[in-house]
Amino acid sequence: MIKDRKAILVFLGPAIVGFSAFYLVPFVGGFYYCLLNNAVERNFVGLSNIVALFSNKAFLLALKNTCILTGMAVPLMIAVSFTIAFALKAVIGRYNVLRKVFILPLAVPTVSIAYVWMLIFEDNGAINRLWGMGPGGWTGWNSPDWLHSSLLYIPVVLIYLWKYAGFNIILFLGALSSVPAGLYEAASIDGAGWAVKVRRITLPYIFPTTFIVAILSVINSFRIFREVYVLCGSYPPQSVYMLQHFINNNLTRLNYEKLTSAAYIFAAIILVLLSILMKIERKSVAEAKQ
Amino acid sequence: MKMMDSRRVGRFIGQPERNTVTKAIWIVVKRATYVLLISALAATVVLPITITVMYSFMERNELIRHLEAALSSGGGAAGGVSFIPWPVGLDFKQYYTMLIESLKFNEAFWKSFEYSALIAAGQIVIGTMAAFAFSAFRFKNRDGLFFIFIAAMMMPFQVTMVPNFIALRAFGIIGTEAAIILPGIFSAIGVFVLRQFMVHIPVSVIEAAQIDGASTYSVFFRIVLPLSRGGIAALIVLSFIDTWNMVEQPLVFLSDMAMMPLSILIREAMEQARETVFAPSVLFMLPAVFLFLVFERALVDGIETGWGKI
Repeated sequence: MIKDRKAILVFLGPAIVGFSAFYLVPFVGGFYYCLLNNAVERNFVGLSNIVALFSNKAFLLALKNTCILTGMAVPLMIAVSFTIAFALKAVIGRYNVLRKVFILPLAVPTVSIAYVWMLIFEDNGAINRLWGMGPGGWTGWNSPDWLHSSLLYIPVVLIYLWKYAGFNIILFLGALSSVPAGLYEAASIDGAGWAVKVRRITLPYIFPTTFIVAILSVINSFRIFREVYVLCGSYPPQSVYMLQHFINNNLTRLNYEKLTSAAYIFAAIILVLLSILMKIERKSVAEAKQ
Repeated sequence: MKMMDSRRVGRFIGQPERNTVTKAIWIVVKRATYVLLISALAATVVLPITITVMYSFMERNELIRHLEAALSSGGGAAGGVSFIPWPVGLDFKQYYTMLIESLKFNEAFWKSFEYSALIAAGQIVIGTMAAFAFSAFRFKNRDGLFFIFIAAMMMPFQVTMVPNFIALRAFGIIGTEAAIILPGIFSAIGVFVLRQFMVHIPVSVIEAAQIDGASTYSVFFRIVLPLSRGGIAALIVLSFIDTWNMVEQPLVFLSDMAMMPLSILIREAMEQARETVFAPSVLFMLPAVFLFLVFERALVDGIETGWGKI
């Protein structure tokens, strides 16, 4: 470890200065705007803006939807990407075209593909045509309206999995190949079954990776707003009206005090979530060492 | 239990097992099932991309018929159009219109390129230096400081938009290209990606160089930077893709149409003239996908070595 004090300033300086100027300082200072009644009169009103949000129906809906979507999408993402990584590990070598295919959607810009998503999920789009030929045709059920009803969260979660699972699959593949093969052999000799091997050997080994995957998946669950926004504009069906919509729409209406208050509540929730995740990780690392 | 014992003994003394053939068949069947399922899934994953490309080569009227069929209500094969968007013949008119007749797509394309390249370059400079400090130095509050960077990285744009906006207004650069580029360069992602990579450089390598009389700066330039090539490649891909894909930032920080990146133009075309969307969409995908394919191995290696642990 280097302990050259002057060099720390030289290397860390530019990042700290820029990060402070554009993120940290205005983030701390900007909290002041939450405490004013509006940007013109600038009367100090304390925390009443933040308190008022918790009786604002649109805000509560957005908060609820964001929590539901993240709470539903992140565990699903972890399960899906782990399963695919596990299956990939079983059939392929390290460098394989299949792995490329799964991570490719990450490189596809949202706006390039958004319109095709619409065509796929539209009233008479590919999915519903298939539905009509399959179960819909036999039973006479109406085809689901994916894009303009509360069902919209299903396409949103699917697009989220499509886009971000590849990155997590790579992370899991890396972790899976770091498990010493000898452990599995030793376990087989002791008569351990498939399930026991996964639970006792694989899962403990990949735990740190699962932690990273969880953090990235939370970040990405917020980013999926972009897809929703490009697909449905500022006012989507209620089931996917998220905090990001609330903040965006208040920006358009120039409600700065509502917008900043909502942003700080959002930030506080993310900080709490991150601290919890980090606590869990610390605890499990400490337990593993014992 | 007895069964297992005899099998184990059989394996050790090299006698063929009783069920070797059934077992071999079972392994082959299992493997084939895995390959089949995974390949089917992979085919589904590339399907939306393939559809976009197919639409981009369709003749205009044919394309409009397809779009109308999908948008019409009521089941069945509306208008006799198949839902498989296989073009009747290759038609390059969409590309011709975009590249030759309307120049605004070209200009926006290069704007997108400018933003993405400048931000990636800035992030590499700032990020390698800061990541070196976070990985090779020991100083007070180092981990606390890095936690702030991770936390900032987790924030969605709608949260960081507030401090960005305040800063940009204070510096008087709202509505200029710097309003996109500067917050991009100083975002936390570059520091994070490179630090995750650099912590895996063994301390002993750095210490050996120091014993040989290398200064901190030559350790950085001659040892850490060359060893971080994989991390830098990973950052180039991730950063370029991220900026290339941006939608919200230009809508909030820019107002002049001449500065808008191609993503914004495609979004507008989606609302106005849907049949013109596909050729720009495909061309817009190409640089990101190309970069991705070139650096895929470095990216994957970078992710695998660097991201397993915080």
